[in-house]
Amino acid sequence: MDISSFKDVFAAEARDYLQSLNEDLLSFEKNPGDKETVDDMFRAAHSLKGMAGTMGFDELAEFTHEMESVLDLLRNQGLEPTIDVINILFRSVDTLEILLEQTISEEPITPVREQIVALEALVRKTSVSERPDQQQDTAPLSVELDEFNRETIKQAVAQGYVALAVKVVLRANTILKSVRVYTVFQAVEKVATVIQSNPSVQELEEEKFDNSFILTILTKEPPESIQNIVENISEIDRVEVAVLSNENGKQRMADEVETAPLETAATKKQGLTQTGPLAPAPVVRQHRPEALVRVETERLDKLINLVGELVTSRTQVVEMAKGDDSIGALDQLDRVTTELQYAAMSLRMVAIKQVFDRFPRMVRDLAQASGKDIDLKIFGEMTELDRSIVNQIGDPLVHLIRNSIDHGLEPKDERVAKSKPATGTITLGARHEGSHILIEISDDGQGLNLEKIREKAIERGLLNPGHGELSVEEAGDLLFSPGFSTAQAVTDLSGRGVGLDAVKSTVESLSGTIEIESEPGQFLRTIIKLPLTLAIIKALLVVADGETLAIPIQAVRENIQVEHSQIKTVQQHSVIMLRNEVLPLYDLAECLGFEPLKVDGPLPVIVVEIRGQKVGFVVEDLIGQQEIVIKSIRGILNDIRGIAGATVLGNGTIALIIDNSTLIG
Amino acid sequence: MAKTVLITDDTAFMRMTLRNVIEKNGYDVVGEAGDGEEAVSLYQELKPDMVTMDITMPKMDGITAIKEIMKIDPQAKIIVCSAMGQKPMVIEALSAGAKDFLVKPFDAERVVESLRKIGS
Repeated sequence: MDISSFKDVFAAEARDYLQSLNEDLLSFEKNPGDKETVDDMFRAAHSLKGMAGTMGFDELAEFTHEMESVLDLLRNQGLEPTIDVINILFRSVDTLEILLEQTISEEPITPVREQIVALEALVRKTSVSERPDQQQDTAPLSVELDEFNRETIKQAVAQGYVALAVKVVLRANTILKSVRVYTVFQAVEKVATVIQSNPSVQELEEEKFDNSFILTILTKEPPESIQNIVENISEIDRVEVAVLSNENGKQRMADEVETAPLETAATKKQGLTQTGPLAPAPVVRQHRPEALVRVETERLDKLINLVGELVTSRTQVVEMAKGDDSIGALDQLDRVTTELQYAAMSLRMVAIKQVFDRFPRMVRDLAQASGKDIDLKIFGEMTELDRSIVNQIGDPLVHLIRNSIDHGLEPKDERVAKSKPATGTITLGARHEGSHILIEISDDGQGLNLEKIREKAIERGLLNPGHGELSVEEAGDLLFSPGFSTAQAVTDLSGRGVGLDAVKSTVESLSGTIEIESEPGQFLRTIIKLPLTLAIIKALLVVADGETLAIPIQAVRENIQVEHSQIKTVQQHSVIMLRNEVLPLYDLAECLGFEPLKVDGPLPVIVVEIRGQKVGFVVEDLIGQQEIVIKSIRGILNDIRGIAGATVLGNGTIALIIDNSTLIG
Repeated sequence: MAKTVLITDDTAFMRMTLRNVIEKNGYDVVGEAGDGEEAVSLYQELKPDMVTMDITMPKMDGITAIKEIMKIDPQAKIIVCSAMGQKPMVIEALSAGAKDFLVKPFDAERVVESLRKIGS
């Protein structure tokens, strides 16, 4: 195994840890008392440190070490989770992210001294004052013994044994605590008999204990030697040994023993079983089975491609066998391959959570920067869609959310004046609808300012000066047109030149649509509708110059028949009037560089919408609708204008898939 | 004289990582074994003070190798190296005679602590 393949695993895992650090930090900020979250963060930082150390990424290891120290203090309540501390931690996660990516791509490392110093300062601040948990630790060591064990001790002491309480504190970052406990038992039992353990052996085995446990032992060794033996085990933070009784039977801890509450029979019985060594019992701890497997995306693509081909040849075979006796057997093949196809397709699907996960942090930062109180609500994050779509939808969503924060939500005092809740709400959600996924971004801000949009549009020459009041729909269309921005001032948050039209074109390149709903003064909702997958699409099959071509059905508005007599020429271009609208006509064959169409009689015309504009493609013949598997065309045929790819049809012929958006320039 | 260590792991990367840490801290890595069989024969040949032993390896796994080495030398000081989730095997290795355990990914400090404590 070479290091580079190690590195991929490392990178993927490290990114996961960073993501969970970010999430935990967010929830910790809301709920600073939550010990579990801090524990989680500590573990994440610790694991990262260990991994980075193993890989020899020293900068990364050093940095995570500092973070770990701070988290450890937080965990032990040695450090107050003030906003300063949390901000430093947030920035540290950012720094870590940069460090990680630089390390992985072997770029020069940006110095992180400053951030390390900030972290160290936090640690130093607290190291002077005593940590509360240590005070608690200095309490005299004592154990509560049940009657049975008191009797055992009495008899053992009579035979020259000493009863000792041994408190063992494991280091905070101990891995496999239960196994470490096992080594302690192993070592101690060479020279002593363990008669009791607090917490119980079972709890120790199940790792249901913090970091320390107390053993009650009988031995003939002096306490110092027991102390030495335990101290010489790895990952032991410290050991305390106290004598429960001396050889004369004088019970030094008689008081404690006497005041020990009477144990129930059940614990008494447990006490008996505890005398044996910690057996290498089968792991009973609820070990979560691996629910996920990491697979290289390339392999997945290959599988899906093969399944696509299998589906195609199945169709071929089924067609060949039509009217044949073997059709019964082929039915089964048909069913199985269809199921296989869906199973393979589902591998491409990932939860949109991947994208949504980055927003809580982003909204938090932007809220802080803009001085607005914002509550981000997320729903439907487990909704699945095609991986290739997930990869591209992030930026448009970032843009829309920034818009909501910057332009949508009003400043706090303004909201209060309007008797709205001071905290603005942004909702981000996803849900399935048929073969589509709907992603919704809404805010309860000021909504669309129709008047301002109208003024701006007139100013930009997008509307006639005399244009009356805008509808929400019209305003939405204007917002998404190129070069339109109503931002009063360019802020850090949005208005960086990339307009909403960029959002729209990304969505459209994914065969999606975008829509705006708004109640001025109340809310703004943007709805993005995307296909579930880009690998299989519905297409309209047509013939041009004898070639079968597939037009994605997404863009097709209608099919019409046109008589030659209806065609008029305007500025040397063929057009027809379709319901009082001018529809430019193009010969599909000619657009693709084939022989132009020569047909008498009515012409089939496919009406397609391209960038909001309807155009008609004249074709030779119409075949019908079909689901097709998109195959990309590679090599020198890559990037041909007007061609999005190819597909193999059921009868084995190849059909090119038309890319409407680039077909006409 | 520096204490001698034999490293056993089937991946060259882990051997390299371990060697790096161990040598930096003043120990002498006298050999590297790629599987259990090799570890047993190298142990007899080199008589190292300490052995690090991976669990999952081809030919002969780490636990069998620990048992073999303990047969040859009941005083052998072996540190078993495991991955996360190998708890039952770690316990088996410890009861077979391993003196300590390390969990991958290795923390350099932990490796050194183990060597120091086992070696003393």
